[in-house]
Amino acid sequence: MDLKLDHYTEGDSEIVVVEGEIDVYTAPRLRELLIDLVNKGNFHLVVNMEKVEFLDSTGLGVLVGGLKRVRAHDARSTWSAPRSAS
Amino acid sequence: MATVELTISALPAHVRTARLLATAVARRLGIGDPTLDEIRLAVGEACSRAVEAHRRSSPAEPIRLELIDHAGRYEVVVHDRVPSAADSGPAESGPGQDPIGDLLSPDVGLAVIMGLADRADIEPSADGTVVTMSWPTPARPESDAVGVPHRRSPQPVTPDS
Repeated sequence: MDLKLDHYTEGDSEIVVVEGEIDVYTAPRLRELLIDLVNKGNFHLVVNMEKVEFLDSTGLGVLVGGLKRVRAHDARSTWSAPRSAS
Repeated sequence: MATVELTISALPAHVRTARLLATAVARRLGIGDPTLDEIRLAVGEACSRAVEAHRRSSPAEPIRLELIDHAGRYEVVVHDRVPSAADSGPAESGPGQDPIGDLLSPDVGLAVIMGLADRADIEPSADGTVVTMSWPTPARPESDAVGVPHRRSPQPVTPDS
């Protein structure tokens, strides 16, 4: 399936809900969302990956890139509910 | 031996197609779910690596996959046409791009392939890189091989039929 992205604010964190497949085709959309959120001052990111069905090294690179961006602001990023690799 | 071949343009959207096809052929060969996951990820990594390499230097050239049913093994071969000298490092950051590179080194994808495939071989050359991955297939009757049509058992004929 394709990638579905959503996000909402909870306390001081921005929750990013990811559903579907993160690969070389879909990862740029997640990357753009993470960049946009950080640029708007959301430095505490929680990426909910409970419904992620596929994650390759491109997607992992995007998540690491998001982590690097928030760390640049001395903040944190959490990946929640990751599934086993598939 | 039966072979399925797929040629794709160097577009990210086609990587998923390649993944799905490679997984479908593996399933047809009787490979179980845990290994199907490994095949899906390894083939995706190999195709992603090839697509990124082509986009940097040979975007018009196609990428070719062979899905081969050897006796007892399922082999996936990914051919790209990017000379190995031009295939190094992630895409360069250009004007307007974010300075934090999100692309992991292509070596990460290759490491994933080496870790997931039962056997893996990566051959860079002046004509391009060939990534060969294979997994064992479960034993099955000869008539169940890919490309060999099933033969139905003769049905008993009764006077009422």
